[in-house]
Amino acid sequence: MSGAFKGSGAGSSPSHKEWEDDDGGSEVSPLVVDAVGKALHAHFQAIANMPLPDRLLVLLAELEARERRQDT
Amino acid sequence: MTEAMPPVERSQAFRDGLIREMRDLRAFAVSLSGSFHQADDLLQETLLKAWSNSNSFIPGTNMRAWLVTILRNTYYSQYRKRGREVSDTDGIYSSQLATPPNQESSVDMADFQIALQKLAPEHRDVLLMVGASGLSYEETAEICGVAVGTIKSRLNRARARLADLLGIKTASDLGMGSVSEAVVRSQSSG
Repeated sequence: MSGAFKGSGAGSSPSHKEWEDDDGGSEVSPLVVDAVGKALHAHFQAIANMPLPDRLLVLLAELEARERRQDT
Repeated sequence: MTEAMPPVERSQAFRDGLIREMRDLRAFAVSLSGSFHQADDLLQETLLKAWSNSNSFIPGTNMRAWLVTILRNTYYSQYRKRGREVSDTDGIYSSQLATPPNQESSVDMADFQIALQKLAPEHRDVLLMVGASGLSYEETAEICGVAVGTIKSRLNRARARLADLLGIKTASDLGMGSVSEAVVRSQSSG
């Protein structure tokens, strides 16, 4: 792992205006940008809504159990 | 303060935070790698690293950004070692995401994942971190080790390329009705 992240709290969402100004104007209309953003969000949520694989839940339980044994 | 928190309490808070983030982190991993199998390997390794390095997480900072940093570093170190795994977009992806288009977007999920995998890695990274995971420009810039302006530029290019790959020229290409278009138009001009 290359260094711990020292983030600055919760993320903020960029507005269309911010990125358009930065790139000197966009060839993509705000309507299309918004539609792409909705498609991305829908894609992400579809995966996030799936149940987690058992092996990940088992691993988490094992890590907790190991830590409890070390505490006692 | 980290030092003032009793170990057991810290562990519980850390565990709860991990559990809260796991589903979104899995979505990030699948989108990044294009493979459910590789994503679950990545998530498992990220979980192990996060747990063993929990002392380096600063309570009150963004755990999602911290986990994304670990997962992304793990992915690219594996990527460099063994090359890119063939995406399972046509297999597991299609079967797991065989859901009808929802009200939010009419883009087929498997088609979207194929398009996502065609983006340049540095563009896909930024799109997933800012556009999907909700990280700030500053957090994303720190993770990627580039300037905030570069992140904004990459995000812009990623959106344009994705729209191009999906054949989106107008909002109606995505099945948006006239009312939706009007709402977006008014929000964009406001």
